[in-house]
Amino acid sequence: MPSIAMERLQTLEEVIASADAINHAIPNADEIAWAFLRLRRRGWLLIKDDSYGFTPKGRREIDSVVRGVTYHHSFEVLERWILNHPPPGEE
Amino acid sequence: MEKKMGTGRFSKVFDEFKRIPFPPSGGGNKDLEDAHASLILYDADTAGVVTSILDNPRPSEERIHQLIDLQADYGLEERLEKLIKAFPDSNIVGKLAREYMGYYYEIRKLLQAANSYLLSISVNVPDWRVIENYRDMADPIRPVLKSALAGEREVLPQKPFVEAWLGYALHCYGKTPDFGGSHRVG
Repeated sequence: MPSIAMERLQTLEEVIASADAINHAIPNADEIAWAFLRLRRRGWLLIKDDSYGFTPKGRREIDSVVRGVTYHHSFEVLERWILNHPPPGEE
Repeated sequence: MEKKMGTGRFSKVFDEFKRIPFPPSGGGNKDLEDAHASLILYDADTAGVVTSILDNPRPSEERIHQLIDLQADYGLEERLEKLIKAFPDSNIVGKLAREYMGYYYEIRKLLQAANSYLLSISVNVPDWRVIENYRDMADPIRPVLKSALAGEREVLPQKPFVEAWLGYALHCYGKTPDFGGSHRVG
């Protein structure tokens, strides 16, 4: 059974809190906007009112990127993958 | 630091909460009626999760996620704040809105007690008071993000790391990641 947190969209403050937990830093407005625009271009970003999450496609693709990778290394693996796979129109 | 509590004390807190009368409906105002309906749901969901936590000494991950999800209902809070601003307490709508807000904060106190209880039995629950501080950080970012997503604002290019960072933040929400670092990378 999928966990509730996987299904639920996040408010902006929750996104910031999560980003802080990952990198011990607060993303600024340009960083969030730029990242979200890129994620949307990939078809990964789901927006509903003021909440954000992944589309099923985004969830599927990111899961496949980090599959088999230990939790602590999955962020680095995702970063490498994103570097090598720019969003459509930026290749 | 939050004071920890055992099962007995948490159970007592819940008993005390259950003795607080649920505020009545009324006022003949649509927004107030909607807020009342939301408060009923919030109350019922909270009671369900707290009962379940008390019944199960080791609550499931799903139950903990439910508890986290319930920590605040900012939509309800905002609607009540608007009503309180619009109506004085001498008005029935203003009076009831204040009662609803009071009850809403009693629910949140109960949820904080649940967090404390879980911490006392070594279940890791993110401290929602910290999350609340992120609201202040999010407020100035929100309009920038909205206008950027609407294509009304140019956004400066960032390092690829930033996309991975925010993407991972969306991906791993609720999993309480801790990568052990003490400063920003990227």
